Amino acid sequence: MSVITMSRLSYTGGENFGQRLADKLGYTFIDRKNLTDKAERMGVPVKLLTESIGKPRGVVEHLRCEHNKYIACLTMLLCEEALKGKLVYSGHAGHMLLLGIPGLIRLKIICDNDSRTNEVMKGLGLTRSEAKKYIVQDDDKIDKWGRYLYSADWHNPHNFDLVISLSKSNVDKVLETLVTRAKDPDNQLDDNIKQSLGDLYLASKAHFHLLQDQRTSQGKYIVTSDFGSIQITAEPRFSDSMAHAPDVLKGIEGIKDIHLTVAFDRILYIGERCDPNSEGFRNTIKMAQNRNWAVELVSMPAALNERELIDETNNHNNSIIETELPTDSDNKNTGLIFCLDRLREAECCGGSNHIFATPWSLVRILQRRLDYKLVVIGCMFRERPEAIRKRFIDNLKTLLTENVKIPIIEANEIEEKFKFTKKLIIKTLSLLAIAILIVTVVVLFYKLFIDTIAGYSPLLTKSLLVIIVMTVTPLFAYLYGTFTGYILKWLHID
Amino acid sequence: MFGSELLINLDLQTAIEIIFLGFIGGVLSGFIGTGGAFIMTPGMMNLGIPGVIAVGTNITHKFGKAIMGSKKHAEMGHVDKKLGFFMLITATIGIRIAVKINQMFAEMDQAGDNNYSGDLYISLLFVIVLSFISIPMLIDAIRFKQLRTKDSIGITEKISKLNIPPMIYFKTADVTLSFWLIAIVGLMTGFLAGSIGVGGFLGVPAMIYLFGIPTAVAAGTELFLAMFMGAFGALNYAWSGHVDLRLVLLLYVGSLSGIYIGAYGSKVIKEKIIRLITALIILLCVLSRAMIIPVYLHKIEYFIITDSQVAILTLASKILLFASGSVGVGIIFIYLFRAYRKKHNVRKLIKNGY
Repeated sequence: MSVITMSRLSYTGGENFGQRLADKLGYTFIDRKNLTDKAERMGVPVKLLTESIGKPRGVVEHLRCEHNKYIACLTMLLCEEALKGKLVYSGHAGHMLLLGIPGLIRLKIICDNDSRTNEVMKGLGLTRSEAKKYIVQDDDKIDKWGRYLYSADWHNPHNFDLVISLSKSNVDKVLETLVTRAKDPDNQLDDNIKQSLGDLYLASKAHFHLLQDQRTSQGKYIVTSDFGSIQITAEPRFSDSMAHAPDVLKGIEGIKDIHLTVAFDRILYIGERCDPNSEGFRNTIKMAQNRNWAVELVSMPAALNERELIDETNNHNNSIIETELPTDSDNKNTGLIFCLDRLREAECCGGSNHIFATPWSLVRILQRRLDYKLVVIGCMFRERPEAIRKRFIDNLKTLLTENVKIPIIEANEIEEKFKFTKKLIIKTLSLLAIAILIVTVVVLFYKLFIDTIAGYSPLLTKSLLVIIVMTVTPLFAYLYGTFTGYILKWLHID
Repeated sequence: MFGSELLINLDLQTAIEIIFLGFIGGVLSGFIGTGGAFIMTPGMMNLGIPGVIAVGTNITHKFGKAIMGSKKHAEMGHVDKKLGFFMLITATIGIRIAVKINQMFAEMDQAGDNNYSGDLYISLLFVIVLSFISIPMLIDAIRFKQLRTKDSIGITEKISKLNIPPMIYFKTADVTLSFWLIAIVGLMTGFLAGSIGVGGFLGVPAMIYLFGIPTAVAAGTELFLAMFMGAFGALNYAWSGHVDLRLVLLLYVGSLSGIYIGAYGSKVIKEKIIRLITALIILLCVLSRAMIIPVYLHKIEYFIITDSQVAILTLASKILLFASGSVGVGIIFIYLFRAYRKKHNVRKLIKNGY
């Protein structure tokens, strides 16, 4: 019993292929239209959103709330179907809707352009050149749709488990392979995966209700669910709207309790098995409390992330690390629940986005949500010898740094990077002294300097003035800017 | 023509006023997301600094500030350097034209032993340009979502679809644009930056609405562009002796600390209120500048008003500008304070189990 999502461009034969696959497996087949029709009936302006794609972003910025509503609604509907199991879903960016859920099979269906052109000619009665033009325009629209809504590059193979070219493969054999893959124990909907799907379903349902209700529709929220506990995080400017959330969500089946966090920014804490008592985690809480940040947790089981990191190392260094992978039989990560409780006590909880994540799925999540202030790498690879642990952490950091433009630090570096140490006090005072000196000298002697150089030749006068202005300005901006930065760090508003 | 005659006598009171002006400019600049020239340039002119010096000083101040800001944006991947460089090609031409015009007025004024025609030109340009920006902004803020009628969307869409070759693809911004569209926007941005220091008021909206770039990338790219435009402008104005380095440094003292407070303000204040405050402050700055225009016309003997009228208008213009800035900053502080109280209320809500 597994779930297969297919992402395809138009006229690739993907629909037909998906239907055949579903028939062969005895699964239900649904496509994007099934979901969008339902969404439209629920009040999501799908047509308006489709038309907005390709227009300048500034022009369609006012539709941002509708876009969020669309994503929340489609995710909710797809999760609802996926929870029943035995599902083949075909859409444009289906792989992005169930982001972070393990065990699913994500397919990308491609087909050569000649075959697609022939299909368009047959289907729409167009000439060859018209059909080619139609394909280019349609592909561009889908490409923009994926990038605008999900910040996802449709062409990136890392977003999929399998890429299938229907024009270059024996379809029957591919179907056989997929049937075998669907029956693989790794791809069955076990309790953990169902829990993840259930949480995503609840979170998206809660988010959709918030965006639908007039009392809360003006806000911008991050909604997560952890075993039925809904966590809503918003910036202070949306705190008025957010205060209505408990009333709006009252009565929704499956919601155990609701937690609200008001935070200036959000940070992501990645841990293998979140340990609420680890020094790194305590430092993270302290840092978040001081700065009014919310901490979102991501748990990465060792077996999953080490496998990908070894693959990464092999890809980069062309070498093989001989190491035995630990098996992670206990995925239930009770530490995560304790950590969430600790964060709630400290009033800086940002929820946990999902229970299991691999490095690449983490990259995809971060690429979709670029609004994290910081990513903290917590306790990872603890059962490994120090040298291997360090190398794996370096690999993880490199992978994240190369793919996501968000500052990344290790939890044990927090103390050093965020604490206002004695060394920093000396540095701050020195910068202040230099800045005062420069201002005093310039204020007292600038006029005199101008009058003095005015007597030289015009070329020398002008050159001297330009040199002084062009050196003192950036130098002072740097010195005083750094000083201000340190003061803000001391005030915890860096 | 070169000497300290154009520089004001800097006493303690003026120095404090300049620092305060820098602070207001910094807070509003962090709050709105563009430079604070719309208040700093006229503010300096209200303090008796000749317009050309105020513009030269402001563009030099922006140069250093943009270095700090664009570094941060670049780290976050919000800078499209290729687009910045393409815009810079024509922006430098725009700056050069602007500097030439301002210098021409400065030379005319020096010949006549005053600086009023230059000030009049800068003030008129300021009033015209910022009225065009702030009035639609105010209507937008009042009507909020309803403003985007089909007509206004249609115009920007039509301009954005000018596919005159050569077409260039910009990876970070993820758009393909006609070189000619970039050239026109670059030229106008450079001209406004060089004339009155408000290039960002045109550059950022143009990048968002005409180029279709995400807001964060537009702001980052504009800062990157401002760094080079600022350097080029500073070089040009310094070459003609129209930069007062003392004022540049004093402005930094206020602005670099204010900018963070403004940025925090944008997180606690609702978008509609942000737009409303921004539009009102800019409009009041425009009004303040408009009030002083009769004084300049009187000084160049275009028409005559009494000395007491001159004094009243001068004082009223100064008070209006500083009051609008101070009230704007005050509102931001009040909202920051209320945000902490609201957070406390939400906490209480949580503790009481809703």
